[in-house]
Amino acid sequence: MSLNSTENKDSITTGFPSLSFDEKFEITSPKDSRYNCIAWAADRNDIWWWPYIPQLDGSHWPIPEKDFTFDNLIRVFQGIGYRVCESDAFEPKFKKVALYVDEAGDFTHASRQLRSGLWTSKLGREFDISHENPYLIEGDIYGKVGVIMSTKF
Amino acid sequence: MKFTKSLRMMPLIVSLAAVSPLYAKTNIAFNEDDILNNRVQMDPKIFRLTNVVENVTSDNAYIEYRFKNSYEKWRAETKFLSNISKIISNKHFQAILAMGRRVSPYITNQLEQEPSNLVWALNLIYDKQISKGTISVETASRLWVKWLKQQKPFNFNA
Repeated sequence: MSLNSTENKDSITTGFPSLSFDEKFEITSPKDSRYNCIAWAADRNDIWWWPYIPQLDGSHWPIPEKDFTFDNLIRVFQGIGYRVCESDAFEPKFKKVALYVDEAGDFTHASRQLRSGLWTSKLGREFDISHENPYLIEGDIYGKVGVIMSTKF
Repeated sequence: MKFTKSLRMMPLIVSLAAVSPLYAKTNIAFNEDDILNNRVQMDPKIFRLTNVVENVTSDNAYIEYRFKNSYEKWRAETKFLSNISKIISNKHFQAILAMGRRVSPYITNQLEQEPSNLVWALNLIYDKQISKGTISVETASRLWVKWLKQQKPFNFNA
């Protein structure tokens, strides 16, 4: 089955219906459970970044604070050079990430802007996808974009 | 007075009347001597059914069936999640954990076919990490499979 088969795409749009209307929506890599969205936003594809106690095999959290608060996720990206910025608009010299938060105030997801201006997301243990803007995957699963951060490419 | 006493007995009389047709239809011989001497007569159809249930529950087929069922549902319900707490607290993952070390061979088979974060079930069942270093889920799956296969035969109490 090809990566961008109707079956694969349908399996995603059932969870993220707005992607059905996104002409830029593409599946860009096969399913891979080695890494998750936060690691992928931080340019890692070999480990699962999430705070959890006890530590589990294949997981990692790069800062000592192991809570799910949105501020904690912001601290992680500050730790690798990102700063909060105002706009998700594409700027050629800047790499941007969008961090998502649910109604309880816990972080849920992160996506990253590519040099093309499109955004990339790793969906749980499933596929990497590209999408036109970070708001297309807002909803019941990931909540809303809470902040945009940027760093120089 | 006598009439009132008779009324008090009515529930008992009604109950006996309701049960007696069921007793008449049953295939089991309610004979105390037979029961005490293991000579209870049973309809062969019921006996065969009892044997099937015993076989299913006494070998590991039932555990395997429960594992596969829980595993597929867990994967479907958590496929888009990054949140480890939510992935682990999913009721189907909890059902796998509740089976304890008896489920290890089926987890091992699954991880051998497809390394995945199902390996976290082994972390929690055995209350240990296979490596203290930062390794990928894929490497951890391979190391767990190797370690569990070294426990010959599967030593579920290791």
